[in-house]
Amino acid sequence: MNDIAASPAPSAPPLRAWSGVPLLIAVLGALFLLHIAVGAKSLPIGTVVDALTAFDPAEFDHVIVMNLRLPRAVIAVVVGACLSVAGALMQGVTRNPLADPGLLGLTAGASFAVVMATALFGLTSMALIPWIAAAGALAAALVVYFIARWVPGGATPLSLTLAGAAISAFLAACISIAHLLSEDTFMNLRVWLTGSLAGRDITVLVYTGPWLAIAMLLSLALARQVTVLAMGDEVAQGLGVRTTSLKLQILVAVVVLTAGSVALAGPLGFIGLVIPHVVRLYVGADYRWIVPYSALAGAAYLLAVDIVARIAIPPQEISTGIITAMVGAPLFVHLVRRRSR
Amino acid sequence: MMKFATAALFALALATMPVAAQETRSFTDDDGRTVEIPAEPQRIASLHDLFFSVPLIELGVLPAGSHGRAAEDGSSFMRSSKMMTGVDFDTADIAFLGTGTEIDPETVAAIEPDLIILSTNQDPELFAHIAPTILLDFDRSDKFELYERLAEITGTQDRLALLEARYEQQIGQLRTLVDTGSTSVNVIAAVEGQIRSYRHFAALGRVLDDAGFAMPEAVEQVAYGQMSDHSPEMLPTMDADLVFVTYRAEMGETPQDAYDLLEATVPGYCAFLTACQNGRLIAIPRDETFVSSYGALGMLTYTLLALTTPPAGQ
Repeated sequence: MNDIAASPAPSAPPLRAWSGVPLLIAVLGALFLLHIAVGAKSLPIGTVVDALTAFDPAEFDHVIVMNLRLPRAVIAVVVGACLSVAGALMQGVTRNPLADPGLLGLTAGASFAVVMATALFGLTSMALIPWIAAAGALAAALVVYFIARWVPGGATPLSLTLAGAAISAFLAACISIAHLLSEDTFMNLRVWLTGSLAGRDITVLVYTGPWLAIAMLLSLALARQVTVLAMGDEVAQGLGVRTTSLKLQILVAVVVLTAGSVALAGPLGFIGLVIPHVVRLYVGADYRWIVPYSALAGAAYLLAVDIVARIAIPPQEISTGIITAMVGAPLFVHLVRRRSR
Repeated sequence: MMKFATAALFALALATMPVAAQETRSFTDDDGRTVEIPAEPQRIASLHDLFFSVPLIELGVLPAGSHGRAAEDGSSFMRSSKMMTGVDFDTADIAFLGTGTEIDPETVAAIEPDLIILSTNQDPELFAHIAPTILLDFDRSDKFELYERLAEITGTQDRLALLEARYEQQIGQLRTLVDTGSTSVNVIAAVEGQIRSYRHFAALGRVLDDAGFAMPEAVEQVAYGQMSDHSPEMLPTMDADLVFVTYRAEMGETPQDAYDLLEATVPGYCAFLTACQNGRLIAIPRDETFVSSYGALGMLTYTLLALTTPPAGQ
């Protein structure tokens, strides 16, 4: 099962890899502009430009662009990039093609912690939510890892996936129990738990942004060593990589990226699973390319998905997490079939 | 002595007569099932608080047990019941049957009901062996149709007629004193980044409809008796002469919480709602507006009367 992530196609030649970067940046930029140009209310492009260049808070159309669409687009970029990079790192370090923050329990851990803190203990401080999400994600990651290590055969990709699925199911059950115990309180978290970019508080980004930036830089810095680690611990150690220290650093990066994303948008699925696979088809097995490509492609993907979520059935909006699952699941099946040929 | 013993035995036999021996009648429920139910049910298990238990209590029938909600302190309550009727688990002999839609049949069996009332998202097969079980659809557009069904089930149509007559007097007064047709009213709430609008939803919806108030064009697109979520970009289409925004008083929320949610959803919202600019954005508790209660109809009618009749000097 681990062959897809461990032994993918050879790395793309540097020229090909470099050439894709400006194209991806251009696509990302175009989707970003499209995201703030379209929505439930149709706005002339001139109005959008006016809002961006000469914002008038008394004009509701300007408020739509600057206060509703722009923050949402920024959050989509950040969350899409972070989840994709987290998934790529996890797939590399565990040599497990199914690894992603959702399947290995991190998303469920972060969600569980935030739900308990906000719904049962009445926590409302935006400054604390990222920390609580991080604690939940870290705890879930450690529990999954120790369960996988504890079973015969150790922490293999299969045992990690099974332990992650079990912990995710367990935490989902705990959330359901808490829901039963405080049904009405959970009404306000119903949409957030499906993963949504609607109505997200941009101030959370103020608190999570610096940490996410550090984690993203750390991920880029570690990418070269992840390529070596993806070949196996023995090979990596033979090449002088201190695998335990490296895994710890990757764990910190993945936990921060996941927790920040959950704090911003709730548990969005499939992004961390699908995007690295798509990227690998183009750039091969070199994580020096997979990580930055995943960041750009993940951001573009979530922007595109959120555009669909906002305009598919106007004047209503669909929860973004529903669209990521609807698009991500069949896309992932297609990718698996394509790789297995 | 012998006569007294015979009378006592007869009385005991009457008191312990099995449910099956009660006089029964046929009732066709909202799922099309025809069920033999007691002619005058005495021990009803109500599996929804807001839409079944509260109307039953207003009709003068105390259920033996009811679905309820779990409060954060671990206690249980029937939503809106104490506010509308004074009756709740801590003030009346009503057993708490559980929360949500998955009520444990054993808990229901323990109260020995002679009739069980379910909603259509619950499985009658789980309860039918305990007592006659009927389903009522609380998703129907007119929640007060449930009232008629419950009165029919419990034989309390006379009581319902009195409640209806009182309400007709109240709403008639509103129609007489206010030009409702030229006054638009809307009911909204900010929910998870969306603006939710309610069209003729539950108690407040019925009062607005019966009084003949106009509504914003965007809300006319919403199906009768339903709610609809709108993108915050459509906020100005929710504007009206009078806009109600709701909050959960039973959950400890205040009017400020409702305003804060609107602000978080659309920063600076007040500048884009003429109702808010004119001081006509009014926060009211959601529980009193959503409950199927004639008490609520009266309260809301007088609230609207106070808000839409001109004050002295105007």
